Amino acid sequence: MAEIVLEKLTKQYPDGTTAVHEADFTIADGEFFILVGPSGCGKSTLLNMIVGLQDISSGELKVGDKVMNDLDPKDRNMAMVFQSYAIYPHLTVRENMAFPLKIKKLPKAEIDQKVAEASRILELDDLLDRKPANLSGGQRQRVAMGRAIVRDPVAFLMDEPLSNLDAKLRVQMRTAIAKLQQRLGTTTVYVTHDQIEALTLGDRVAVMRKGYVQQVGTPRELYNEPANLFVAGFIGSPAMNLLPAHMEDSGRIHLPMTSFAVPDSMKERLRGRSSDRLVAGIRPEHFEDASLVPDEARGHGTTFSAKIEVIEWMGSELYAYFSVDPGEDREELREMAEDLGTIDFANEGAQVVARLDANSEAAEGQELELWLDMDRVHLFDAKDGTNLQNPTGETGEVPVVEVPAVEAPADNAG
Amino acid sequence: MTAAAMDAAGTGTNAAAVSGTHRAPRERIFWGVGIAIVIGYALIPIAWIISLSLKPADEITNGKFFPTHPTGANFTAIRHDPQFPSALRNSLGIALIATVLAVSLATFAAYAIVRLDFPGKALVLSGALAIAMFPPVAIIGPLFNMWRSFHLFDTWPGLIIPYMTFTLPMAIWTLSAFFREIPWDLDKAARVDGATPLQAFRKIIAPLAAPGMFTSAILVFIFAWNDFLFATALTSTDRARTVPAAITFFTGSSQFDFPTGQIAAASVVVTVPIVVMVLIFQRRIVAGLTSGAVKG
Repeated sequence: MAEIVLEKLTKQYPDGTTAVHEADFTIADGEFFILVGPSGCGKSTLLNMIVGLQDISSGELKVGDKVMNDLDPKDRNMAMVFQSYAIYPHLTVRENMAFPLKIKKLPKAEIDQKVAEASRILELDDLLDRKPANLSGGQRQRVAMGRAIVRDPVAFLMDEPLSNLDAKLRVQMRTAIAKLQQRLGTTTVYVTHDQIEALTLGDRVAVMRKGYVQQVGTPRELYNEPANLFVAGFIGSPAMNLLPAHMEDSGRIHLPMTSFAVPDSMKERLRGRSSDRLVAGIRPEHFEDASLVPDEARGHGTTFSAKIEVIEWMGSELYAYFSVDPGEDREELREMAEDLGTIDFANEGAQVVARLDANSEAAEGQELELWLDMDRVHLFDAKDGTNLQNPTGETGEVPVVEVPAVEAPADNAG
Repeated sequence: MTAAAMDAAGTGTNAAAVSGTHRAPRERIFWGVGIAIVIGYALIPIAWIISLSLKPADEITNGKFFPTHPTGANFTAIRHDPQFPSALRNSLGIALIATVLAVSLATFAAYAIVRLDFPGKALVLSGALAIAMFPPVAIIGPLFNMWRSFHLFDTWPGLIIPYMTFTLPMAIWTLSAFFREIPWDLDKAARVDGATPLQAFRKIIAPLAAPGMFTSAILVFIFAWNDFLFATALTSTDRARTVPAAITFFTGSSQFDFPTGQIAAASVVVTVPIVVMVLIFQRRIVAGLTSGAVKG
């Protein structure tokens, strides 16, 4: 019923800059849909176009079968939660929540009943007669949510609703929002720059960069089958290691720290696609301390030794950092790193992070024998960044990959 | 040496703390006296005028602060003056209409200037400022001739228009400062909540800008109320003459009798509305209404 269809939605400013290029996807009814990307990627512009606060330059926006392009925001019946909360400072919490209903001229009894219900859900009962100035950040955030849910809208649009909260509250509210959305079953479009929020909240996620939608998929698809270098580097924390690589005609892949013969499974997935300039993407969890790898697993891996520089022991796991000499192919990677702001390129070489078993006896400053799962190495075309193969094959067969539950540096990517 | 340094530092902070507690009462006295001087300086002339207005004619020149035989005769006299009551009516009407017009026009102008991006925005603002700089005396002559040919001479609109024109720039600048303080997200939230642009303005933005509107309303009103230049030059009869101009036409009981007492009484009468207005709106002028709109 409230399916939101975006057909080649484009936003172009009079000065010629294009904020959103032909966004083209469908948000299903009741879906929790996330728009994620670094700041300036056009995600908020896209949201504003959906809600009607910004004009659509070209393309079509439909809710159900109805074209919304030229509809005034007041007639779209969508509720929005702003990053700044935008609650009305001269009205009490109750009046704030009642405002959209009063504008609709609902009978007073109905307004009271709806406000009471929303305040019960959001536990705002004790605060109803307070002014926003006397509320904490978390409470204001809940008032903003309350003003959205009293209305029974076709969709909730949330523009970084949690980014002004402190880390602990953010995690709490994240769970609260997820529960609320499940309970109400209302289509939700949620904008964030935080990939952890995107992965944990979203039914589906659209990753954006510089106005282009890079990939739309479930969090698991994005993590396991990134469509290109950008998605690969953006999703996941710590970020995927991206290293220059090249493939010999004989079918050997050379990485800065090791080389291995392309396994058959990878050959199959490559389907003959190749490039003379490759970037290999390896998630930190696809390394392991070689001494802890069972023999039967060694078959689809390769081992190499590296000098561990820094160790971060997290209790349940351990992050080991080491440097490799990236060789000649560094240009695209540096550009990527700048774009993401997540991958650190020191002058001496590229830093690689490996997630090891907590039992590993790796020590700082020592050589360690590391094992790399060859089956899980992503190969990207360095020229256009596309993923040349999907290392995990069909989505359904993907082994469960846990997203590290760390509030990681990716937080500040925006 | 380190110990000594630490000791010195310790006594240093102690001394600071002690002098801090000592300074408080002294500071209070300083500010108390200062405020008293300023208030006295500002209020003595007014007290003097009130005293004059209560003095009978033979006491006016005796130089005493308190009237020996206070009398209301001067007030009765101005009430029966042939032109003072109508002048008061003119003053009130003209000042109020000019205020309402200037503030509402300025509100719309300022809101547009702050929220919209249109060519010539800077020009409008600097042009408004330039008008505010213009010396009114310079346009009195031309205005006099124009008003006579437009039949605006000695009419209410004849005064309302220049008052409005000269106060608009100030009102626009004051109000745009206030609108700039109001987060744009509030307009947007109201629009998404189902409000038309006008509803969003009336129910959300205008209440938040109210302190700014009151501030500029008072300033406009005082300008129009106190103006003497336009009032004398552009009026000739009771039809539009305002109080400041009317006072100069007071006549004493004889040709040689200057009506000081009556002028003082009239001044008291015209000062009262201003004082009342400021007192009423003082609370509302206090800003701070917007705090809490967005995460602070």
